[in-house]
Amino acid sequence: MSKAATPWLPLWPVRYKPLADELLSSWLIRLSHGMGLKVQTFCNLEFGNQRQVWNRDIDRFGPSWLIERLSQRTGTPLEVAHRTSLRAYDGILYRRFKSNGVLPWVLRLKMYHRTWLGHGLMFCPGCLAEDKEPYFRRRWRLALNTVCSRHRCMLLDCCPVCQAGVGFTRTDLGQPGQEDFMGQNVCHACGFDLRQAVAPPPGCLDEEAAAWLNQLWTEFEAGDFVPDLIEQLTVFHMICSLLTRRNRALHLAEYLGDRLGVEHPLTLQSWTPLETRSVDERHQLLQMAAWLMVDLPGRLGEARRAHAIRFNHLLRDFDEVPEGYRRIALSLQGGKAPAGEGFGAEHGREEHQDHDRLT
Amino acid sequence: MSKAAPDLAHLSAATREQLLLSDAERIHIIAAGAWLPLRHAKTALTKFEELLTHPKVTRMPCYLLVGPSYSGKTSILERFLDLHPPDLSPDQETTQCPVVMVDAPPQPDLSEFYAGILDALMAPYKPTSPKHEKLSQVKRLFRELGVKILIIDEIHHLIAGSLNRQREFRNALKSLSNMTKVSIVASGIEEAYNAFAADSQMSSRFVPIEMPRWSANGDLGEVLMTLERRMPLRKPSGLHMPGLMMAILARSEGTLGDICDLIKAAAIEAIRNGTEQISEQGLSRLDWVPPSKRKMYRRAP
Ligand SMILES: [Zn+2]
Ligand SMILES: [Zn+2]
Repeated sequence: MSKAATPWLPLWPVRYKPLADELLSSWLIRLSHGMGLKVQTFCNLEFGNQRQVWNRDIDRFGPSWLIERLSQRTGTPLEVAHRTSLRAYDGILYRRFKSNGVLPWVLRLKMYHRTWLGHGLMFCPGCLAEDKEPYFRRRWRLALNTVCSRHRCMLLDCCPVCQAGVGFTRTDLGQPGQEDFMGQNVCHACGFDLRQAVAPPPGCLDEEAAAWLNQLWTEFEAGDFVPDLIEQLTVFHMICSLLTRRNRALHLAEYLGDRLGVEHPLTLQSWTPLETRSVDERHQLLQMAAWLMVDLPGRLGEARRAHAIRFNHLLRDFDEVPEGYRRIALSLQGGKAPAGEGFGAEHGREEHQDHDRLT
Repeated sequence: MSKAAPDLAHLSAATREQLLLSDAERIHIIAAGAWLPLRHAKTALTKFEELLTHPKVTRMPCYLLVGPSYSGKTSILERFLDLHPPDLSPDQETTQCPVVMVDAPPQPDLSEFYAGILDALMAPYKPTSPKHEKLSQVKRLFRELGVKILIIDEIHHLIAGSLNRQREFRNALKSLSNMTKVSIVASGIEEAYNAFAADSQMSSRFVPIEMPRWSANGDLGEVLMTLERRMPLRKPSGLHMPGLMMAILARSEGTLGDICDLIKAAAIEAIRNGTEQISEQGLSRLDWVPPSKRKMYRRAP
């Protein structure tokens, strides 16, 4: 990882290290404000006017010139600095990084005239309230996450007062002539203290699906990205795509809505990918997809028999399909699902293990 | 007193060991001029030291070190700074910097003054930003870096401006100290003292510490003895003896800086010409002009 090209630079007098799971942008804001500078002034001083920091999603792109500089100037090991960007999930949440379009599981920031629109960053008021200095976490940028596992509440993805997107913004938080910059807990648009926001308890469509999701998230948060987990994330993402795709003969979302007693699935309101949706939409969508994941061959088979999905939907437009998923899809070609081939299904997996143990 | 074991009573133990070094090395040691632990300086350092542990109160105590140029003010301040270096370890969340030292800007320009502080703190800042923004940056950094004492050397530069500018500057110093609870130690010549005295609030706040004036007395004798003990010359010079003391005073014009510089030059010459001691003749032969006069001397037709 070492690159000898960068000349030696002195440490900054303020050299905070990244906090637990802190996002690159949040770290950069804390550093600027710690040195008494507006973020933009700070970036211009350090990186020049040529290198624009705030008109791009630095957390997604994790530019190496930025990360290396912060690492060097703060005395932070490069690996630790690198971990603040979502690029640390290369090969885990998505196979290959790409700079355009939707990156699987990474919430999309929509930018318009230097301000962030949309639901690209979430927060938990309880977590912000507990912070000595409020900061934003990497997990609040992930489409997989809708619930704070610490406070068991829904995450929020906009200011509850003015509905503006939260977090880093190019219009600086500082008021001139004050050494105290507003913390990241303050809505940049209306000044509301996000720590005061009320986060509702998460709704639950199906206990089993919720448990499956919870298990997946727990494993993900533990950070042990074994191949099984990565494959599970890939397949789960494919299933979510099936729920958000517009296709004449694909009625999976309606079907699941019926099965799970959701009258008007939020996911049907638009045909946009998971990564651009609000936290409420995602919460419903993830649970519906998770319900399938609990017993993928069985429940997909039922859906197929109910004409909610056709075999060709299952593999179309997906490249590099995991082998387990391909087998399930192919088994549905004939119309019958093989028993005991649950993909990521808790019970299925246990049975499988028991079976292994017996033979 | 035999030739094999010369009497080295004129030297301190540490200096005696330096006699083993080569001439070039001894000359280097003298030229580098280590810190002189003089009584008045130690008293000042003790006072500054107390500022470091002073509780945060509405009006933090401040000092004004007063004395002519070359009277050794700067070396006392630098000594204090050396005793309290910043903690620059990379693992820390911030540099810990209890003492910051700046030179006053040549004109009473607040923006430049704050920029000087930011430079001393090694902080990035925008040179063109207005003074209130620099001030807020200074305040934030003082807090982050745990600054307790701000040393301002050559504060008399600030009185070069109009009375209004002076007043503005004095008020800025007062409010900086009040807002940040940082003690200020300023140093300057007599005029600075007078300018501070013109403001009753300022004069009550900044307790003056006057640099001693050197004349041919016991105090100077003590200084000269201390100097002699620290110069690695093989033979005793007896710098404190009345004749030599008067000669030193006459040539150096009585400021401590010039006294030290003169003796350094004489000692280096004594090593070079092998006499290994400073004498009245040696002094009179020395081609030396007090640094305080060098500018004038050069400018003279
Ligand atoms: Zn929380
Ligand atoms: Zn708001």
